[in-house]
Amino acid sequence: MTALTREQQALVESALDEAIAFAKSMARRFRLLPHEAEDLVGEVRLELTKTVRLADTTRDINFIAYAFPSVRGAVLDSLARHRKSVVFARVAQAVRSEMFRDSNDDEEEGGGLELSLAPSDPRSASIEHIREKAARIAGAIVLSMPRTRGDDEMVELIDRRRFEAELHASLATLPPRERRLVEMRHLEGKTLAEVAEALGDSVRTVQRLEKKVAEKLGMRMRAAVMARRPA
Amino acid sequence: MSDPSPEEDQLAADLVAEALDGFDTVFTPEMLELVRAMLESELVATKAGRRTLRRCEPEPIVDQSGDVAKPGARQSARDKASGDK
Repeated sequence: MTALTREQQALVESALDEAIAFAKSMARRFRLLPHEAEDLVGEVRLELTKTVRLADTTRDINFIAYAFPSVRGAVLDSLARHRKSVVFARVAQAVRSEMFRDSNDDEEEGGGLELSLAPSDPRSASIEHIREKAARIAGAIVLSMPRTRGDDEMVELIDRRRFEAELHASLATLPPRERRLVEMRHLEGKTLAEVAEALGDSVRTVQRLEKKVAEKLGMRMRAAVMARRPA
Repeated sequence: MSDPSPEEDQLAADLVAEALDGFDTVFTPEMLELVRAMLESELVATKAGRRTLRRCEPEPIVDQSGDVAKPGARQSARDKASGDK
């Protein structure tokens, strides 16, 4: 593997601070041992080095925003190994698909949990923003985990029965192309490449479309969650 | 980036707990634990998240003109307003 260019090294350095802080925060929350926490930090450094090779350094990019989904994925993969958790490993896959990212986050730093807050009630606006993000996570996970044949094979990350009721209701409201994407990904278990071929699009285009659909499904999920909350 | 203060940690936990209210009917407990940790960590460990936390901090209470609020100032201001001693 070739060494990083000076520009690439500078980008990695610019992102290290937040990426390591995120890894340490996750390690603290899951009470990892010191050597395990160091492992997380090491994974983050490695991930940034890998990610920067994919970045277009000729453009003025916000590298931490670009790299954060990969950083999250690396941290979750490492956590999955330490906790021997299949659930964490599956979520790491979904995280790496970048579908957790808000469409507005591309211009933000770090994880993108910043928003244009109404000055009158920043707390409520923040909570609403975080809630939407959690709902999108639910949508992204369903789409990233093709349904398997038997319930025994399923790794339950969410209450599928409830979500799938919402999903099927949502399908009817989606344009044909988006509906077909959900059917192929979620019901038929096709890969992104297979879906791209079937739709006659590039993988990147299908990824973008999937992100858009996940956001729509997430919004529906959020509405369902809010409706079920006790008054 | 500096380590988050206990107050920042607590504020992040409060915001995320409120945002995730109701999600226990959607996420499994393990998934909920993971989502909570990710969201809290993004708030305390990224610059964008820290800015959000700063905006959500309670307004500082100034007891006297020119004073900087100190721990306990909010309570004493409330006491004064309500006439409590």
